[in-house]
Amino acid sequence: MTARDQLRRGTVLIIVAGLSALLASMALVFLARQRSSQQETIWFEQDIQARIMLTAACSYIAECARIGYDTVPGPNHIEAYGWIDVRDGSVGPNTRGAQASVIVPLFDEMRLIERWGSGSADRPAWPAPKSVARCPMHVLERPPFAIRLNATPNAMASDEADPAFGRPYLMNPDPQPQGETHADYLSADRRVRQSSANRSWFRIYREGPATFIITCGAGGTQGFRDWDEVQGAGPAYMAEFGDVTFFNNMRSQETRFWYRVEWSPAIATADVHNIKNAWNQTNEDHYVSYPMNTSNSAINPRSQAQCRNLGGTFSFIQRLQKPPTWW
Amino acid sequence: MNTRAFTLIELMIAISLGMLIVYVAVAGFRVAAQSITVTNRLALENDLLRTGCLVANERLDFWTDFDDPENPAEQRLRGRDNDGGLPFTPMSQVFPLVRHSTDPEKTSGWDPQEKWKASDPRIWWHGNLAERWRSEMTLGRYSIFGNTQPPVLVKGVDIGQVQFAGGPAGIGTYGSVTVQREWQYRQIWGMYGALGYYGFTDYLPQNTLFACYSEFYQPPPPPFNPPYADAVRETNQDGMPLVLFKPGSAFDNGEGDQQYPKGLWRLTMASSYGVVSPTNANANQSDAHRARYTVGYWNDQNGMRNFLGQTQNRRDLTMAPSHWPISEVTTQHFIKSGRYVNLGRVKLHDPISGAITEVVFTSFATTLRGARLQRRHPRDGGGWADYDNRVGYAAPLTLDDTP
Repeated sequence: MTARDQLRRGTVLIIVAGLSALLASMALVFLARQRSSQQETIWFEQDIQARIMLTAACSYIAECARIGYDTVPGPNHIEAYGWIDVRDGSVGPNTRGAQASVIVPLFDEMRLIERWGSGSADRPAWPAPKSVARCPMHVLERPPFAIRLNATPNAMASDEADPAFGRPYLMNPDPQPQGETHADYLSADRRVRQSSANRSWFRIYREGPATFIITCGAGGTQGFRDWDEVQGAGPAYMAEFGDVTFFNNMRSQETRFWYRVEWSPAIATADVHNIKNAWNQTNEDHYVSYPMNTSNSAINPRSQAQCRNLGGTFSFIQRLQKPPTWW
Repeated sequence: MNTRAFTLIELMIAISLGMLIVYVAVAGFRVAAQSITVTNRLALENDLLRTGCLVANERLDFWTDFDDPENPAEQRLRGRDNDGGLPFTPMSQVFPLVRHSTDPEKTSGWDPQEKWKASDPRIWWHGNLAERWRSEMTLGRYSIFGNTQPPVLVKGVDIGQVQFAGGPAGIGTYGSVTVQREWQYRQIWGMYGALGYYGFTDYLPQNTLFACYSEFYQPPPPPFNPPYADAVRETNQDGMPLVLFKPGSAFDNGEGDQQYPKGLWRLTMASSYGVVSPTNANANQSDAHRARYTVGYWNDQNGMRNFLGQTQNRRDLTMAPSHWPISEVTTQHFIKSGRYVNLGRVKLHDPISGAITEVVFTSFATTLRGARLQRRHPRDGGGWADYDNRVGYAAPLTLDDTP
């Protein structure tokens, strides 16, 4: 090989190396940019996820005011009368005794069975005042009373050879249960869908009779306040996180918002569709009125008044700038 | 003879091929460079959209674009005039709390600690739900069960009017009647003028019948001559202010021609109440906040345009180089069909391509009352009112407190 050939090969090597370096640097910048965008998208997603938890938490508070207390397993569900009992103004939730006026509390604020930290029990169970509800919001494989995602269980036959062609037979129940048996329908497959695990949670501290601190979170701590509380919850939860370092890592990557809300028993008014509002032709006063829970009325051909919320509303929702001492 | 040289044709072909290769290489680099430019541009737009959405959500939670506690220049919604207050006016200026030492019925003004317990007869509406605005009172005179200004003097002479002490006439001669209930009606009538219509509906419980009994008042014969207060104070014969329930009044949209007192759903089924954006010139006038907007099935483009123009709070996202996409964040608070809506809108306008991208979303966020609780009362120096629930913490006064 002559010296000239060696020079030519060296030139080619330099050119190829330069081009490769250029392409590599462009690719690196591109990947860095993508990674940065992806990280920002994750934060953005966490922000939205945490805000959705506010809706979930408020729904939970509203439902806890009236329904959902299965203190005794069975077909009958214990009904409550509000966080502030609508019957006598006492602290709720309470249910009724033999008569509706008999107040039966559904909580025991004197019995301390939960822990703020790793020490002895120092917190009553939910829903007592000063208690906490911690709600990781993963999706179950099959929740109780799940309905199958089939919107047309009685689709008309489209095959002209079918004797049922074009006929709207209601041969199948609509909607249809997701479980295979009645027992399945009533129960649940409580395994966590892995794609939904460790994404978001809410936590509610009952600050007053009807005021609550809601913490909305997006991340993997499952709503535990800190490692101390994980320790207080017991070895099973400690095993889930492994150690304090892992927990704190998850905590540092998490989004948390704090809100203060006040529940109200007020729902709606019994005016439109409860009172014969449109009798206006002849100037007369009248007293034709139907109660809020009417199933039908002669006033209007509606089966239900404009009252679809039976769990209460919120007097205010207040985002807090920083976490309060107790949450 | 040296035979290693190119012929002319070979040289021309070689040069052509070389130029082609160079052209392809340059074109390739140009495409790559343009791709990176486009990618960066898209990434920038996506960044701005994401940031815009985050900013909108923060503004919806803290209402800082409607009232900035740390910037007096951005507190245009705190004033009051003779007709009432604005959404961020301290309650002590528009509906101050005056506690009665022994009788809670006689307490007046907004009490931020009041729980409105359903079991408390004070919050029960003691009126006649079926009372028309042109009532002949054939079902009786309900203003004697509850009234903002007891006692009621009822003396019947001629035209069927209930009058207060010193007033002229009324059906039936009862004389001076002691009224058992007054607190709730005073709350309703007081809040009517306190914070504007949006605040009126936000503060009172969701089962409020927006009607009350007050003193009988007949304004001068039409055409009305301002002051506006005369028209607002006009009542039916039983003393129920017509502005609250007469179809087509300033507050009542008249939907369904319902002649009777109404709740929130009916009042907002065909129309909305909203918070006027402080960027509007009229935002510091109380009557601007006592408007209903036709946004239901009666609306036309003028109605919708007026609604958007008055309630959309449009702000630039950030200062940026002139070639960057122009981003705008809009927030809006209104109530429609009994549902409170916190609307966010992020808009990008690309000055190079002219393309417009817009993201519109609703957010479950801080209510007006919650926003006022975030703010420290001016008497305590203004700014943010830090909240805490530790034992012994002295919470600062907020806009809802009466010092």
